[in-house]
Amino acid sequence: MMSGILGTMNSSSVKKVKPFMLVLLLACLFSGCAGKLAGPASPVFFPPPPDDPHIQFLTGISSSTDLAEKQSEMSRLLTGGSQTVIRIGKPYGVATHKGKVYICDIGAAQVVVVDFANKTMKNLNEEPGAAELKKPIGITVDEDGNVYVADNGRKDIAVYGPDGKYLRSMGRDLQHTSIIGVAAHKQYLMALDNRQGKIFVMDRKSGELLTTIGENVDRTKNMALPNGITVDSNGNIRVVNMGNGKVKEYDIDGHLLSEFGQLGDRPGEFTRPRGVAVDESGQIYVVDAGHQVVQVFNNERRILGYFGKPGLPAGSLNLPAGIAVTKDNLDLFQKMAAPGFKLEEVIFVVNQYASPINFSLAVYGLGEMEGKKGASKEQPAKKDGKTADKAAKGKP
Amino acid sequence: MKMLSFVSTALAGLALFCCNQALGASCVTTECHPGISALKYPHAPVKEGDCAPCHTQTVKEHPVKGGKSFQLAAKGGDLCKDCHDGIGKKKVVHAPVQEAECTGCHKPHGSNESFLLEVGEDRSQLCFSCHESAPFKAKFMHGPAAVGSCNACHDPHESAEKALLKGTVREVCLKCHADFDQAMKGAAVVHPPVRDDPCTACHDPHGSPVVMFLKNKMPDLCIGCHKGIGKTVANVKVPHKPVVSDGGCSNCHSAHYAKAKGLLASDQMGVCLGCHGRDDLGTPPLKNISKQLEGKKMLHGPIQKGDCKACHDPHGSDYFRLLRGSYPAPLYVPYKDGLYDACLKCHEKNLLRFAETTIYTKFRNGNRNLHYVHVVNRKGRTCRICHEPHASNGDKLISKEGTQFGDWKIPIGFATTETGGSCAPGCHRKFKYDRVKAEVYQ
Repeated sequence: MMSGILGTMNSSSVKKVKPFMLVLLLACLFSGCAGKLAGPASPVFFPPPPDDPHIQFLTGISSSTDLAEKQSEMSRLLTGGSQTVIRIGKPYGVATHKGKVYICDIGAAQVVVVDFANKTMKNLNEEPGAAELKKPIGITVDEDGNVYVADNGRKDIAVYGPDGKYLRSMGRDLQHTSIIGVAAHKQYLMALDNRQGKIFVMDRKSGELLTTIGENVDRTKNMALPNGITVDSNGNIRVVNMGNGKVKEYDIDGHLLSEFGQLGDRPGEFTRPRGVAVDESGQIYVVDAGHQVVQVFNNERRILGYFGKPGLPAGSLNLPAGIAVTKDNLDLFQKMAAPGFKLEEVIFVVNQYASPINFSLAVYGLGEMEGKKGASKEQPAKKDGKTADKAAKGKP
Repeated sequence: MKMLSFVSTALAGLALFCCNQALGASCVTTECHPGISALKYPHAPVKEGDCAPCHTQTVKEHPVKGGKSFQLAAKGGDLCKDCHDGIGKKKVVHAPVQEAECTGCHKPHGSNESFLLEVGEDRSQLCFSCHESAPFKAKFMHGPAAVGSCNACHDPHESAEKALLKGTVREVCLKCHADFDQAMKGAAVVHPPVRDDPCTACHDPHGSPVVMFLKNKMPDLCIGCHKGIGKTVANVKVPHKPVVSDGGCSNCHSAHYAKAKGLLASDQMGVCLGCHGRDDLGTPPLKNISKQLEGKKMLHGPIQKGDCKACHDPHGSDYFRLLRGSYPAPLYVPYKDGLYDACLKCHEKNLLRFAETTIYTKFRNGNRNLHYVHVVNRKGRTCRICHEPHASNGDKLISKEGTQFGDWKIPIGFATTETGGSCAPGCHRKFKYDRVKAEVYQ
């Protein structure tokens, strides 16, 4: 295009144009592709038109370059300094707390903390020795901001303070074989052992074992290859089971309160359920790595819909694992939503494999088009709903 | 020449005018047309003795036996139009006016009643000569229709409104019912059809077999719109008595406007206690709830808010005591899922599901759920054996005075400590319980 334009000019005009072109070129190099988070060109809605949209794919992050303002090679050359790129390798568990997203990266043996508000992405802890993770799978953050990481290589739960400083190890004295998920609620910490099919309920401060769930003499009330755990704002635990395709609800005492689902390929059924999350209205999100979708159920366990099915140019999932839901930073994410699509909450889903169209961390928004009555209103909010930004995690 | 012709014509006209005056005066004498002079309200030309505008002499001789020497100046309504122009141009025109049958109602020479009518204020005879009289003989009649003042609401000639009304239905009604209009404007709650619709949505403006000339009896009239309530009342085992008694809905609700939500005459609890605050309601009499509440330290949550209908359905229910959910009528019924929904739809729904718990109740010894022990095991003691549903002087709605057990009031003897409590009722010996350090019972 430019050579075409130059080709039509005489030599004197070329002389005049050259400095202008140089300035233009430099300006391009300095500016880079400033400022915009990665996202699809046109909105990706679930369900797709002509149905009323309820969920929109907003953006995705696979490395820090997807998040921060990109700096061009030339501007870096001129301004000096280096840029450390953090790339998410093979993520699994995810949690969100006060606007930050915590991702277990099994490949890098790290927990990556993504801060959308400040456009930063860094490792939770880089101390050597006891703080080092080996195979972090599940993660949760308690109400004080302490981070609990279920590490299947360390065979314990590594606990870090709100500042990322390593505090202690938990769960080494439990009769466990494979802790792959953790969830925190008030004074409790729940740890999921997928091989034994048990949940250990501990005092999160003392580490004292309070209850072991999954030892009922009626085996139908126990778990079958549990693969993901979360706790809702009422303190009730949801655990997904690969063995029988069920999502079971237990109270802190271990009583089975409800269950739904089965193995299968119809809506509401699962093949390889993984992460699970419950929002403050009681809506349940279940990730299925087999169908590669997230299915959404209301608080009466009826299916409302699903999102992320492969085959789309953007917004599809690629071996999804953990999921977390939050209402934090809604204003920030609202800017990424399509005009008129009012967000009510944000959903983070990790994909184990990133690709040009699949991000390690995919961000979706639940909402509805203004002026339309949508699915997000299909169920009343629980009267005592509280923030439920807990995480779902499981076995890789 | 032209001037001469004009003068002669003018003189001829003057002569004719003088002659006609003389004619009018001579028409109404004691011998001729005597009835006309006796009319109390003569038609204006008659009063002035001016017969010529209407009657034109065609034969010189008058009277002619067996013949006519006068004819009308024009036919039908055209005769009246010369003076009474402009009638019948509005949207709705009374049929006789449209057909120019003025004499269908009016007497052309005059009458003993005003407006050249043969009838006075009671127009019923005149109107019923064409209109069906049956609807005006209903048991309950609207005042104007009862006394034949049809013209109070209807214009006999023409109107811009349907049914020849003198204004819109609301305007016509509120012109008389001005006191109602004023009170409605100051009311906190107005029934939407009263606020927005014509009064004729509910009332027959002439009369009906139903009191207040309603279009249908209560509660059918109300149920016509409030279908959900109608369904409840029709299908429930026990409808609330006032709904199916005389007066129906109006026993509790005002049909037009009210001070309180739900078109109630006062706040919800005030309306309920209007009946349920007496000792003589029903046979045997229902409990006097006002007495139950009076001076009590602790009121059940909904009662604190004056919300009786949080637990009871004021229209009717399938459940005991018009409750909104299932609750056993007998004193002893062991818990089953769903059986105690009336209480558990607000209170912890898992309260009675598990023998051991750390979360669903504080009434436990260690983790042993003592609610479970009382309500699920063996006999199944209903909530009301220990808890008062409305008010008590003790904590947790446990009555300090004891609970009625036939003729005896069972003392409860309940006390709490920081980590538990004790109970020394008329049911068993004193037992303590402790959530942290479980008591061991011998």
